[in-house]
Amino acid sequence: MTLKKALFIAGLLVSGSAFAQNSNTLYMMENVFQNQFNNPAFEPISNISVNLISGSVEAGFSGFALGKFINTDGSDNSVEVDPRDVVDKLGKNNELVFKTDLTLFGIGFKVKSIAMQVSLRSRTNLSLNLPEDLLRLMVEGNGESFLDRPADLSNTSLNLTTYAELGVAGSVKVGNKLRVGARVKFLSGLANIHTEKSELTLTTDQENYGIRLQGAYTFRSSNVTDELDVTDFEGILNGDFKNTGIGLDFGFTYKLNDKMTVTGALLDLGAITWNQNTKSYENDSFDFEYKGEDIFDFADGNHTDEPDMLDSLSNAIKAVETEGSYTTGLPARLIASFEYKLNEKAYVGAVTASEYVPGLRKVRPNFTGFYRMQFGKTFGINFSNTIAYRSFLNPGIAMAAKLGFFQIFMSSDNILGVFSPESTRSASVAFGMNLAFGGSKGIKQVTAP
Amino acid sequence: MFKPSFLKFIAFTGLALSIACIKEPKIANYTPTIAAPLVNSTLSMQDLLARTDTSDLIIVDPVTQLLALNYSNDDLDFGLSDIYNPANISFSTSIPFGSDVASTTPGGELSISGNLVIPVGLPIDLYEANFSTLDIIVSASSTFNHEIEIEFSLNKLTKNQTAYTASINTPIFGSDTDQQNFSNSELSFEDNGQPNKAALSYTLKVKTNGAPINQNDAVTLNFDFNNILLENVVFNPGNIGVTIPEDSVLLKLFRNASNFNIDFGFSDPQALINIYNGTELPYQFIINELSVLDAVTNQQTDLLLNNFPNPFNVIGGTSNQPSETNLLIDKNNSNITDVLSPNEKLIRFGLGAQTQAVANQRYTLSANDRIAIDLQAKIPLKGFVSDYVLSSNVEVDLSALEETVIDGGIRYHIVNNFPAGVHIMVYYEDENGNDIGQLTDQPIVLLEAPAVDGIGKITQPTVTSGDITLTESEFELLFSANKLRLEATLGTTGSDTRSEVGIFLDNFIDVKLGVKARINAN
Repeated sequence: MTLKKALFIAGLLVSGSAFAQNSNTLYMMENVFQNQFNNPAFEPISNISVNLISGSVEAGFSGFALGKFINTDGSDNSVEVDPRDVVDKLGKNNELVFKTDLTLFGIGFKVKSIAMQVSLRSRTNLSLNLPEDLLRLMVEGNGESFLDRPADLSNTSLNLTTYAELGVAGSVKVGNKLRVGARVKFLSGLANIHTEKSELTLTTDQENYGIRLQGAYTFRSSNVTDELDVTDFEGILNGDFKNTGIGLDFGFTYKLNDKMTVTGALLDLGAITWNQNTKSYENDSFDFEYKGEDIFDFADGNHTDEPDMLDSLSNAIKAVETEGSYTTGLPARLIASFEYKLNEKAYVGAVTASEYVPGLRKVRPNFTGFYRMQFGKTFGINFSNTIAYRSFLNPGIAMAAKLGFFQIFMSSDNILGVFSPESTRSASVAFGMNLAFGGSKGIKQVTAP
Repeated sequence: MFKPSFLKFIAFTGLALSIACIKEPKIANYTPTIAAPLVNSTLSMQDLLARTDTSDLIIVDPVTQLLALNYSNDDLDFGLSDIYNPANISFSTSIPFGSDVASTTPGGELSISGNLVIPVGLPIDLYEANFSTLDIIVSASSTFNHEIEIEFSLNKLTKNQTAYTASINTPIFGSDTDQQNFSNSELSFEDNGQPNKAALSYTLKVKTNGAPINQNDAVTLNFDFNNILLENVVFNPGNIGVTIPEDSVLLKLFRNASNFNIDFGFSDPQALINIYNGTELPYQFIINELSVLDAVTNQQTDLLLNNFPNPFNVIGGTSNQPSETNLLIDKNNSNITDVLSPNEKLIRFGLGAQTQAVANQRYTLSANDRIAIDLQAKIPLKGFVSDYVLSSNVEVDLSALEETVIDGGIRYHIVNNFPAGVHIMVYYEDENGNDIGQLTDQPIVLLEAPAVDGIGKITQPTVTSGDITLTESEFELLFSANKLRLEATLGTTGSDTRSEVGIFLDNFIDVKLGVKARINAN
């Protein structure tokens, strides 16, 4: 892929109005049926809840906000991207994240203090990590800053997991203040691309620009075929996919007093074993060095070495291709919140979430502060700002309304992504419609588990 | 529940809306700088000598570590057969009947017995001899007017501890012979400490027929030792001249030097005559001829020796521990420096030798004892070199960059650990090998010869590195070239271009070239 295309796609994903982050702002809308996916201990508002349609899309790029390096010429509907400005604003690792979560089926029951939920979701996690040096190498070449230091291209990775999740959750109130919940999830993997190891260093020496490439890699995949249809839900239900796994969610809510409540959840603990149409490409270690032609090494004084050099490179980085099962973990998340009740209509608090990033083998944290208001029992709105993807300004909003049996909600962690895509690094949106029968007639306060 | 198509619609509608809302990005021009190596060559002295097909001649002087070309010819040797190799040995004796019998009795038989010591005429003093092969022919000649039977024995000629014996019957006034193969036998020629003696015992029988016996009648025995091959002797040869065939050693300094335009001189060539004496005998050698024949000019020049011992003596040794005599011919005692040059040469030499045995001393010499002579020519690679051109090329194809390169240049990094200055030139060649231009008008690198110590060994290599910015026209030449030819010219530099340097195994030139070009990525 050319740099131009890469930048275009990156910009597209970051600036797209349809992409919005859903987790933290929606997390405090406890009375939304789908929010129990974020904490199985949340108590549903109704005795019976049925998911009509719901889903979320999240995209983020930690590298840059598009607006930091574009110049709008004003003459037409175009922006000019300066690649050198781009790489100057990159972080060491620049992760592009794209997630979708569609709830295909969901129903919940509540009997007294016990609640149960059954759900079927289709989830996709895409993570592409681009090291700064990779993009700098494309823009600068190896003849500028990389004459002074090696180009560290390690952690260039692509991870994609698409799977169906059948979850059975339950929660129960323990005493007057504590409510705990858990969910068992039966997973059926549809497709996977897994970067298990990605180490690559390019060194250019200063004497005559000799090049050395050192590294190791392991890539694995399952069901990455042209025939794959990730929305083949009938196939999922029929058990056509042989990649099975199991996951667990745990959560709690605890009311400290009449005004303060804390919650926490540990989500997506589990793994999928990929058995179907698997491929592994592995090279434990390679070290290729090309210093130039040895012109004195031939008695006849004539030679052509270029094919040998390319052959040597090809042999050095060549992968061992195998087939066989492998296991990938889910991107586990840890969420915690604190809420303070200002009065009967207003609440403030904070949510922090940390998610394991497989491509970088590290935890990516974010932090959200919110101010939530209740207008009667049928409408609630939550304003937030999230610090994520190396960006401090990500204003979000969530709304939920209930008219009779019909509930609708919408949430976004970054509304700038809708109105000013060039200034954002991330965006997300969640929406849904439910039917709710029995139980509270209005919006239930989040602080009363 | 929902059909997959409906869910697809939901997902991709949002994506379509996003695409519709964003502005079309335009990538501003950017110009990556690509750096790549072109040449990375190390020309070591070993490589250089390998190219001249001379590697097998290289030795390292254990003292100075200087490299030297070593030529040797060790085909010459001589031994017992060259010193003393008799075709035959003959001796004779007469056995008279004497006055013991005054008269004869018809039909009777008279006999006498006795012992004799027969002198054997030889050019050397021979005490003992072992014969690998030996044929003995004895002829008996009688002056008797009777039939004679003579039985005799050489008591000290034994084979398997059995002495040589024979019996010959002769008719009246007649003769007869006896012939025996007596190979693998040994014979002592010593009697009472004297050499060249053969001990004989005999019995002479006369078959009387009534005729008188003259007191002067006798039987003469002639011994002929033929087909002699000596295995071992104890002898004193005295002073015997030995003929040694003429020999030569070929000095072809650079066997495959046709590719080189070379002017290489040597300041200290040496020729070494080595004589290994594996016999007990001392010798006196004499150099009869020593000359150098130029294979190109066919001119023969005598190697003149000054203050050189000729003839010279070689002491005795043993087969297990030969004595070694080394005669060094170098610039101090000859004109060898003037007559040797890189042209192919043939050093001819002829030697003579004479044994120098001490009187009355016995020497043991077996057929396997040898005196070996070799002529070794050693040419330490210490001298001068001027305009020694090394040239090689590499194919390149940079035409793909022609449309995209904005500017750039060549980086060089050269380490000179050769005992000479180096000029580097880079030429562009077309597909037929014709020059179409050169990187720079002047040599891009002018490396002075490194500093050397007293024996010409480099103490500090010279290093040069830098960048050459190429003009647009120079880049066009580079792009149109099919080959780059690198030419390194070596020469002892400075005011005295024939200043002496030494050449060592660790001499090398390290040449690195790289190209850096700023390209238009759009």
